[in-house]
Amino acid sequence: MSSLNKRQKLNDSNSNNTQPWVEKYRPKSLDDVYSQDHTVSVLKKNLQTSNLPHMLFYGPPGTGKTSTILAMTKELYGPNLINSRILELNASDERGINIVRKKIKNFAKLIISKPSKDDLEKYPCPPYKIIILDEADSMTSDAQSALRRTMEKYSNITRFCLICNYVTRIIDPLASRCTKFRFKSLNNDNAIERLKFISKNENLNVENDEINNDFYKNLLQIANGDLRRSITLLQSASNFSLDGPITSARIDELAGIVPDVVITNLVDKISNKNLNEIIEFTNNNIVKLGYSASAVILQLHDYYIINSNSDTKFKNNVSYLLFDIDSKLTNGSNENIQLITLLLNISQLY
Amino acid sequence: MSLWVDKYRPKSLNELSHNDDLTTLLQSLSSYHKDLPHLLLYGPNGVGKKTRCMSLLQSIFGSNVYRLKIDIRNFTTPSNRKLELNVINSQYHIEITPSDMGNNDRIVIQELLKEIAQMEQVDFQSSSGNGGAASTGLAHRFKCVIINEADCLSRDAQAALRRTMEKYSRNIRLIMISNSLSPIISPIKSRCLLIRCPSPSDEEHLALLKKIVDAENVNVESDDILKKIVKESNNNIRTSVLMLESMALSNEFNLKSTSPIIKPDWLNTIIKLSMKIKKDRSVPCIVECRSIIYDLLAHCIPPKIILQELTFQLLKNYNNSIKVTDENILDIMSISSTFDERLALGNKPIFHLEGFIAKVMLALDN
Amino acid sequence: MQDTTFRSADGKLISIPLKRTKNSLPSASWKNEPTYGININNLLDSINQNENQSTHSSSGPCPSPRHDQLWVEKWRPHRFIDLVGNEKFNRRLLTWLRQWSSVVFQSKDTEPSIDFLNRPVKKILLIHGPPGIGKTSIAHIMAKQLGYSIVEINASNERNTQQLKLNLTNSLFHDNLFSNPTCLIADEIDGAQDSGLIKLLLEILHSDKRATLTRKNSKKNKLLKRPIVAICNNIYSHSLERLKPFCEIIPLRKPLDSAIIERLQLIAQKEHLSLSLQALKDIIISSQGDIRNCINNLQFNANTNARDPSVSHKDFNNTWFKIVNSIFQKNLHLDYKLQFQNLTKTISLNGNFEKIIQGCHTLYPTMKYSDISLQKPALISDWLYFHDLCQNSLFQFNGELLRYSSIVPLVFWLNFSDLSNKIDQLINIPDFRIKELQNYNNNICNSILSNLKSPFINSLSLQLQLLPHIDNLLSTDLSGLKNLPLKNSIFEKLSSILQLYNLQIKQLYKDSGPDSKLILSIEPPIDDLVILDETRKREIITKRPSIYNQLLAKHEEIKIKQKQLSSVPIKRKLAETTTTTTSDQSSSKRQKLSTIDFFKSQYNKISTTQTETTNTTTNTTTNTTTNTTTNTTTNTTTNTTASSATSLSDIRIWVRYTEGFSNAVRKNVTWESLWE
Repeated sequence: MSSLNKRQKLNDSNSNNTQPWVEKYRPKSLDDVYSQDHTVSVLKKNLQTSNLPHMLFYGPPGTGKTSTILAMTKELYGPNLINSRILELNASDERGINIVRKKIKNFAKLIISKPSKDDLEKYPCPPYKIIILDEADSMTSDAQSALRRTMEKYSNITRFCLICNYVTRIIDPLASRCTKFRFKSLNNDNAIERLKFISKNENLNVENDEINNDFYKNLLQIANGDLRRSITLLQSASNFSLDGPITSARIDELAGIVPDVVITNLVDKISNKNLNEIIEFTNNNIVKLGYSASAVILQLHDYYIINSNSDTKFKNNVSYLLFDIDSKLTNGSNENIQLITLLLNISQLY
Repeated sequence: MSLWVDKYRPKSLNELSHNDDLTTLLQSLSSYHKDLPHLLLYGPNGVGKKTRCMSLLQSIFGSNVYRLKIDIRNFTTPSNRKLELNVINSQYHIEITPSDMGNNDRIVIQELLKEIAQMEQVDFQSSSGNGGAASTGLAHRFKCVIINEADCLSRDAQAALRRTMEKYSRNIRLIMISNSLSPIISPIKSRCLLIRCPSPSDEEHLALLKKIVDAENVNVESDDILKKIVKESNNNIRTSVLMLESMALSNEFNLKSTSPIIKPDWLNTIIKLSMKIKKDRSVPCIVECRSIIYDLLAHCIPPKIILQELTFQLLKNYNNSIKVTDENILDIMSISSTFDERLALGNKPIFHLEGFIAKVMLALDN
Repeated sequence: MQDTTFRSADGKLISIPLKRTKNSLPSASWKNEPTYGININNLLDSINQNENQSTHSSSGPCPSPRHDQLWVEKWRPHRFIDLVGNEKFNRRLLTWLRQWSSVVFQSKDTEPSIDFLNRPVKKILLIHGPPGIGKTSIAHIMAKQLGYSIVEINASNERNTQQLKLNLTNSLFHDNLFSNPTCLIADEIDGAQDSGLIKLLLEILHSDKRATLTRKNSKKNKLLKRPIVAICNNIYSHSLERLKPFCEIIPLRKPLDSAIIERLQLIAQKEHLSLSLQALKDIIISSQGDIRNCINNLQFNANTNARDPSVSHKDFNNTWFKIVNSIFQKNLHLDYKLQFQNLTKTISLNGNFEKIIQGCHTLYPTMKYSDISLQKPALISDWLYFHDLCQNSLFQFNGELLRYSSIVPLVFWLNFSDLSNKIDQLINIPDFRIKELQNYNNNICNSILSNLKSPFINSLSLQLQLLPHIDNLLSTDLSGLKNLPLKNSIFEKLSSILQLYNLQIKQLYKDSGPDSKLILSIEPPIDDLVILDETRKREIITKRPSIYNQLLAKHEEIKIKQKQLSSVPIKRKLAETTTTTTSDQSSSKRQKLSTIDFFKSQYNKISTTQTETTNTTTNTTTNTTTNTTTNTTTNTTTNTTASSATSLSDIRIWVRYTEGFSNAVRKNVTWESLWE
């Protein structure tokens, strides 16, 4: 509840520009949610009938999961009722088994208040509360299993909406009680449209804006289809480009992408098979300059696997090496050592 | 008078000496101080991430950010254990280091950030009430939270951060400082403005040292010695300045190009260890190495750093030891990569460091 | 025997008849012996006599051997002379405690000190050291030996501050008529988060300080007349920072092996056990310096009547020890498969995989086995990783994988067992020792860090880069430097570094050996943290003290100079407001400095070493100067002067100080009170 309070305030204070654009351009209604047509249409149907199942939203980050449910609750209840009808919990709140047992259960138990006449006229105001569990994949399995019974027991007056990135992290009993909505990665056209809308609204001076959409395409590609990340990038880039247009290069830099020149040089060095030179180059031009190993791995992946025309066996071997080092990095090992090992090993494949 | 590292540390954005691109970037950030995004500064050790961060704050809030005090905060974990944490803060920012809190970083971050978020609101109202802050242009409507060593944050803590960053964005700006980007989960990366802090180039670094040398009246025979320092410090500014200072002092402010480089003891020990491994590959030598490693560990040198330094020392060719061939390099690196992972996953550094040495010896033998 | 008279909290003299025990334990008898403190030989003789007598009587400290009693209890140290190891520190402890006897027992034989009640300067004794070396028992013994009754306060038990306060005041300020005067022992004061106890202690100390100044017991400010002994593990704990200035700090270390052997031999002799020296050494190694454990082993050994040390020491060692050794031994007469099965069974029955594997790991390089190059050690490292992962499952999957660890010892057996390994080896796993050292070093680092208000330094960079260089800077030998201005500027710099990082140069005991000397070194001991090299380690004792000595002198000089500089603006202000101040403040100060030196030489009954005198004088001067400066800033009224003359000579010493708002308040001040 408190979080929604905050949100309310945030929206009220739209006038100041401290607000990140992500919040500013968060969809206000279901119609504003882009490129999740299937999900939105199903939800809209539900809105009309005023009946909702338990829901499980999953999909990659930045595809509008949280925005959708928030927009929907707004349409369902209107600003007055929203405080008493919605409980939003996310990973920043304590969500151990105790909270599930006490706070969630108590809220689920609550008998719903009668909406005012005013609200009834304007909004559907269905006779149930909604508990939103954002980032549910970071809940412990204990807490999740404690949730099972609560979901069934109070289903007459309470609906749950679980939001997560990885559906596999939700235990099966919970998942089976929910209607699953998969959020696809954003469709390029829709996302570009949205980005364009924002840049127009904010009076941005974007490089080659009128001619083609390359800039936005590049932006989306860097963000991996994550609209939130694209918007953040756009905002930060606009901060830096006071004079002159926002360029793709600027976006690259802000996103921590290794410049193409460095990568091509690196690949050159690798194919030359001079080990000491590879080590030297890596240390001086990648590690010391602060480029992250994961970015290098990603871009090498693009270079070797997607773009190059080597034979399958070579690609196979390289991808194995990339996978190996990436997994080691995820385990929290030393970037410097791992990166050099990777590059040296790739050089042996030539 | 303090150490040169502190004395010659830039205090404001204008004084920053290297990577002008980055400096202008920060300057443009500070000019928009009403709209500071969350920041994530990353780059290798000792290139001045923290210095840049503090300079940025200085340009936004004024030099009061350097007026620091230490608060002791108490936290209670769900299991009712009490935690005590030293928090460095100023009027405008607060600093936390996750490694201080061990496994409880999630609780500390949640509690602390929520507390600040609520506290600052009151602060904001009072300052806008008297209008004083607004008139001086320092409408500090948000407080900065600096998270040092953000790469040490546990996954839990990072997950806790992601929503907090949005929820309290009205009151809080996070500045995270991290050595590498890989351990940061992508939801956080997507919410932050990533700022890469590269090492200074050799020329920039040299110029920096020269400036200090001139200011301190140190006689330098030739630039060679400074170049040597730059090289030995691995472009780490902190190390190089410290090195310069202790060398200047021990040589009575006369640096000759032949003056020996002063390295910390632990580094010297590791170098000696690498020599030993190359020279004598036998079981008795392993026993000796074991006692050296125990000694290093007892002196709180992190095992990962031991492994890293040892690996790179092994790759170097010295005159009096055996030649390291290409094959050896490949072997050493692969072994190092394996054992690096083991160190990260395991709990017993002595097993793995010793295993690394044994395997390297075996590889060198063949 | 005489009755004891002492001053109660309200100043009355109360005389109490000494409790007459049947046989006079040494606790009562030392006071009457005229030779005490003078001739150690006589003292030892008298103790021996006591011992002889007491062995005849039944209730003496060495009762005749009984079979149902644990030796640990029986041979628990009861007297000072029984203590093992740390002799120097024990003696310091005793000296400190004895200084109290003049105020507690009204005894006359203590050395005069600068305190008007002849109490020690530091009112609290702080004992610190690693766990389990008998800090608590030493404190108890000392107090008992000197005839105190003991009140122990345990910070981890008592939480209620009110209750605690009541307890403290009761035991410290109210005399109990029926028992001996109390000695407060505050155990584990670093342990608790709630610093209630420390706050209370500080309160008491501050009120004592005020009371000492006025020399009067008042309701508010009570004189502390009972010794307080505090015990902690971590001297660098944050909560102790404020208490430390009031404390006489005594570090206790693990006793040396030789000292333990001596003790064990004594016990063995008294218990009619004949054991070889080697057997005793084995016992000590297997118990890793824990005396209690040693004595337990000894008793077990005696009870089984095993006289052959090689058999016996197998018996009293834990089973993991045996298993580890059997892993490395191959039996020719047993079937290979059978042996494997037996080993599997014993290992999984024992279940202490962690210990067994650690033992195997420690032992394997010393064993004989056949190998090409280093294949086997390389191979075993993979298995050790496997074990490490299994162990980690303890934190993630409730230790489900732990049982698979039992395979690892078998791998050791497969690879490293050999016929030629016949004799059991002793296993000394260094892990625990390393952990302890790590903790110690971490504590040092954290204590420095917590005093530092710099946002630019984290613990890692402090440890790896900053401290090594600071250590380097401080230990630079400057005696050869001819250029004086340069030298001075360097010293100024070093002194500021010392201040910045809150480092002090102090006289400390540097090594645990019996012949350790007080040498100058840096506190907190960053050299312990930083130095790894052997030759440089030796320099700590040989070369560094002289360097530090020089630095210390300069440091104090610079400090005084700074004080003077800071007082100049105040002086100017003073000159404006008061015309009566005739003499130049700074010159008077310098005069004061010299007069104190002079006075000191007049007053020099206490024989102190050269360094100590300079220390105390500088301390007092800084104290007085700070007092005056703070006073002048708070009330800019005229200075009242008071004088005190020495009885020894005609030289009059003028002291200027401020008190109150008018000249009406004039008081006689003595040197003693200024020197507090």
